[in-house]
Amino acid sequence: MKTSVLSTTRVYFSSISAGVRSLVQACSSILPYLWSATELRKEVTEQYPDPVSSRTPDELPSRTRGLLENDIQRCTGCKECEEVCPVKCIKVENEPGEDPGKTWVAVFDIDHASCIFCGLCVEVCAPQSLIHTREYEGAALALPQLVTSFGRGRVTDEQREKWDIMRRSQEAENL
Amino acid sequence: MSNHTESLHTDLTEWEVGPFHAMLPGPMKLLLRLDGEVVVSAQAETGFLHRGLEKAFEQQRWHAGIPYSDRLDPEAAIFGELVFCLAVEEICAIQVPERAQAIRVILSELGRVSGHLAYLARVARMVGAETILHFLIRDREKILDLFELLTGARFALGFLRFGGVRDDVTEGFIERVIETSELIRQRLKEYNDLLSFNQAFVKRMVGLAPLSLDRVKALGVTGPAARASGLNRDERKARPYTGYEKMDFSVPRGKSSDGTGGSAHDRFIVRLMEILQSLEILKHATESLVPGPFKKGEVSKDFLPPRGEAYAYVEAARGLLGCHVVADGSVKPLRVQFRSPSIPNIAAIPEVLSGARLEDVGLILASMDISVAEADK
Amino acid sequence: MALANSTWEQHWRALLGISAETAQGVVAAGAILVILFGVIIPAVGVVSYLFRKLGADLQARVGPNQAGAAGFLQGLADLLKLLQKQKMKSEVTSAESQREGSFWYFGHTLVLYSSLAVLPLGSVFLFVNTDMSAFLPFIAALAAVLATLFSGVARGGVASFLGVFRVSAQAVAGAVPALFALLCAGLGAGGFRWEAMAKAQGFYPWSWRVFVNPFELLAFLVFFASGMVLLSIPPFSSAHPSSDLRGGVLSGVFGRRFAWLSFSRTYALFLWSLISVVMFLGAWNLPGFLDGAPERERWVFVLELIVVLSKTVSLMLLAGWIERASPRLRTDHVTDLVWWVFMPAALVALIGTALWERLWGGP
Repeated sequence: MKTSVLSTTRVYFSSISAGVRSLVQACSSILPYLWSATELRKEVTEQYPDPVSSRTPDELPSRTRGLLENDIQRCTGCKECEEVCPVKCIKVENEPGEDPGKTWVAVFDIDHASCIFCGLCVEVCAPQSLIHTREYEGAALALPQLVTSFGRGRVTDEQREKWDIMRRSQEAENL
Repeated sequence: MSNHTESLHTDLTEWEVGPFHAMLPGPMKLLLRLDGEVVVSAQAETGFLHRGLEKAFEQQRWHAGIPYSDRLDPEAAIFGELVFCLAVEEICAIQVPERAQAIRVILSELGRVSGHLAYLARVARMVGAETILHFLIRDREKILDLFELLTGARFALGFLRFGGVRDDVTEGFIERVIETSELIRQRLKEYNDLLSFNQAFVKRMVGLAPLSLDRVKALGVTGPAARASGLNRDERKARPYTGYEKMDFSVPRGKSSDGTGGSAHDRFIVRLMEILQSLEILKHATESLVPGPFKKGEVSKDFLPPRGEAYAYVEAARGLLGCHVVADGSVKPLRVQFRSPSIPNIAAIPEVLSGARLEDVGLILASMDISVAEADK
Repeated sequence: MALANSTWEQHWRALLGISAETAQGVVAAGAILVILFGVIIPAVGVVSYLFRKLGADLQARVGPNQAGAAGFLQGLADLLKLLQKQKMKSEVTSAESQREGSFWYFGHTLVLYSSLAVLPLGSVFLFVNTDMSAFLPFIAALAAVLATLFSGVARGGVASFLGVFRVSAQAVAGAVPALFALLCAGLGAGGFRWEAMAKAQGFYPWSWRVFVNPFELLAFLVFFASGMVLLSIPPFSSAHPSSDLRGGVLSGVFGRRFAWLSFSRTYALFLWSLISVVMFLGAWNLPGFLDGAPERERWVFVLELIVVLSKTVSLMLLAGWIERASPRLRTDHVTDLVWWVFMPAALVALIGTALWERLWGGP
C-alpha cells in the first residue's frame, strides 16, 4: 500500500471523525429511553419481591411448569410417575385400602429440591391427578421442608381393624 | 542472565485463573504466562463441570433422557433435545409429521437467536458496554417468554418427544413469534450503533485473536466460529434435517479465508448476521405451519426401540452438535454420546490467547463462545 | 498559602458566628467543614444518585427505588452496607501489606479532600487564592493517582499489579495534554488566579471562554477528556475495573475500601468538572443586573454556588451519559488516543489561543 503524508493525514483525520461520529451516534441512540413517549420509556425490570408491582403466578402462561401438586383423591398409586422421573424425586408407597381392591396411597412425597420440572410425570399420569401449578416461590429454610407430602398416611392397625369390622358387618348384611 | 535462569522464565509472570473467575466462560482453569501485559502462553484445563451426563442417560428410561439432553447446554437447550430425538427417531424409523417439524424449526431458530443474543451480551459485558448488555438481555427475555408460552419452561424446555412434539402451539403463539422477530429486526440498528460498529469496539475487536481457516479445519472448530474464518459449512444446508431443506436462507461467512478474516470481530458480526437469517427462517416456518397432526411420540413405558444405533447431528448455536445413540432393545439406552461444539473451541484457546493482552483475555474467551457445561458434560 | 486574604475571613466569621479573638486557623477549619458537609458531600451524593437514576433510565431499568423517596437515600444505604463488610483473611497478602493497603486507600481519599481548601466554589470560598491556584487541584489529582498506584502495589497479586502500570501510564498520558489545556485557559484569562479566570467570563454562554475563542473550545474538550484519562473515569477506566474481568487496581476490592475508593473517584470527577467549569464554562458569574447588589450579601454567594454547582453537575452527568453509551477502551488504545490525538490538539489549542489573544485579545 502506498503511503504518503497526504494519505496518512487523511486517514488520521477520518479516523478521528469516525470516532467522534460513533460516540455521538451511541449517545443519541440511547436518548429515546429518556424522553420518548413510546414503550421504550417503560422499564423492563421489576422490583422483586414487591407486593405491589411484582407479577404473580396467575400472570404466567397456562403451560408454565411450576411446583407439582397431586390430587390424592384421584391418584391411583400406579407409580408411573415414580418410574418415569429422571431424578427419582417422587416416592410412592401403597397399602391395601378400605376396599381390598383399591390401593391406599400411603406415601406420595415429591422432593422439590431435586425436581427438575421436566413435566414427564404429569404427562404419564393416567388419572390426571398430578399437575404442575404455576407457583414458583418454593423457598424454604431447610432442605427437608422442600419435600411436599401428598400421601394419605400409613394406616394404623386400629384403623385396619375398624375397616375389617365394618367390612364384615357389611358382608353379613349383604348375606 | 545465565542460560539456566532463562530456561526457567523468571521474567514471566504466571497467573492461574479459575476455576471460578468472572472472566471465564464457566468453571475452568486457565494458566497464563504473562510478559508484562502480554500473554506468552496459555493453557486451559476443563472438567470442573463434569456431571456424568452421558452416563445418566444409560440409567433412565428412553423418555427420561429428554430432560437430560436439555441440560447439555442449558443456554440453548433445544439443540440437545432435538439431536437426541433425531437419533432415537432414526433408530426407530419414526416419521415426524410436517407440523411437528415446523414447530421444531421454530423452536430451534428461536433457540439460536436467544443463544446468539446471549453471546453478544457476553461480549458486550467483556468490553464494559453495560447498556447494550441490558438491551440484549432484554430482547432475549422476549424469546424466553415465547418458550414459556409454548413449552412451560424458559430454559430446559422438555418439549420434544420421539416422533413429534409434546403439544400443539398455543393460541397467539405464532403471532407473537412474528411480532418478536420484527421487534428484534428493528433493534439491530441499536445494537450496531451502540456496539458492533462503534469505533471503540471495532478498534478492540478487529484483528483480535484471529483463527485461520487451516487452524479451524485442523482443530475441528465448527459453527459460527468456523464460518467467521471463511469455512462454508452449515449443517442446515449441507445435510438438512427437520425440514430445513424447505427453508430459504443464506449462510453468512467471514470476509476472507486467507487468514485476514476470523478475528473476534468477524465472529461477532457473523452471529449478528445469523440472527437476521434466523428471523428469515422463522418467517418461513411460521408461514409453512400447515394444520395437521403434531404429536406422535407419547411418553409410554412400552417405548422400546429396536436393537441398533444412529448418529444424528444438528447445527446448534455454537456449532455442529452430534449425538450417537446405541440401543440394545431394552427400556434404557445402551450408550448416548454427544459431540459438543465447544470442545474444539477450548482446544483453540492456547493459540488464540498467546500474544493477546491481559485486558483482552476475557473478551477473546467470550468471542470463542464456549459452553463449559456442554464441553464437560 | 495566602490565608491572609481578609475578605473571605471576615465573611466566614460572620457566617459561622466566630468572634474576632478566634485564631484564623479555626475559622479556616470551620469553613472547610461547612464546605465538606454542607456543599461537597450533598452535591456528590446527589450526583451519584442522579448517575444511578440516569443509568437506570437509559437502560430501561427501575433503578434505586426503595431507600427513601424514589430511592434517594440509596447511596446512604449502600454506604452503611459497605462499612459493615469485613475483609476476609487473605492468605496471599500478609497483614502488613494489608495494613499498608488500607493506609493508601485512606491516603487516597485524604489527598483528594485536602483539595477542598483550593476548590473554586464562588468568590467567597477562595481560601487559597494565589497566582498558581489553578494548578493546585491538578496536583491533588496527581497525588490521588499516586495513592491509587501504591494501593495497587500493596494489594499484591497479578491483576492489581498490572493495574498499577496501567494507572501510571494513563496518568502520565492524561496529565500532559491537560496541563497544556490549562495553560490555554491561563493564557485566555490572563492568569491562573481563580478570580482572574472568573472575571474573564460572564454569566451568559456567549461570554464563556469556550465560545469566545474556538481554540479554547478545543482546549476545554482536551482538558476534560484528558482529565478523565488521568483519573481513569469511564470510558477510560480499564485500569480500574471494579469487576475482575480485565484485572486492575480495583479487582477484588470490596467493603470499606470500596466505599473509600467510590468516594474518592466520584469526588475526583466532581473536582475535575468543577475546575473545568470555572476555567472554561463561565465560572460562578451571575447575570449583569446583579452587579449592583450589595457586595457581600449572603444570597449572592448562595446564587453563585448554585450556578457553579449546577454547571458542574451537568458536566458530570454528561460524563455519565458517555459512560453508559460507549464500550471501555483498552489501556494502550487510551494512551494512543491521548498521545496521537489529544496531545497535538492541546498544542494546536495553545498556539491558537496565544495567537488569538495577541491578535484579537483584550488590552
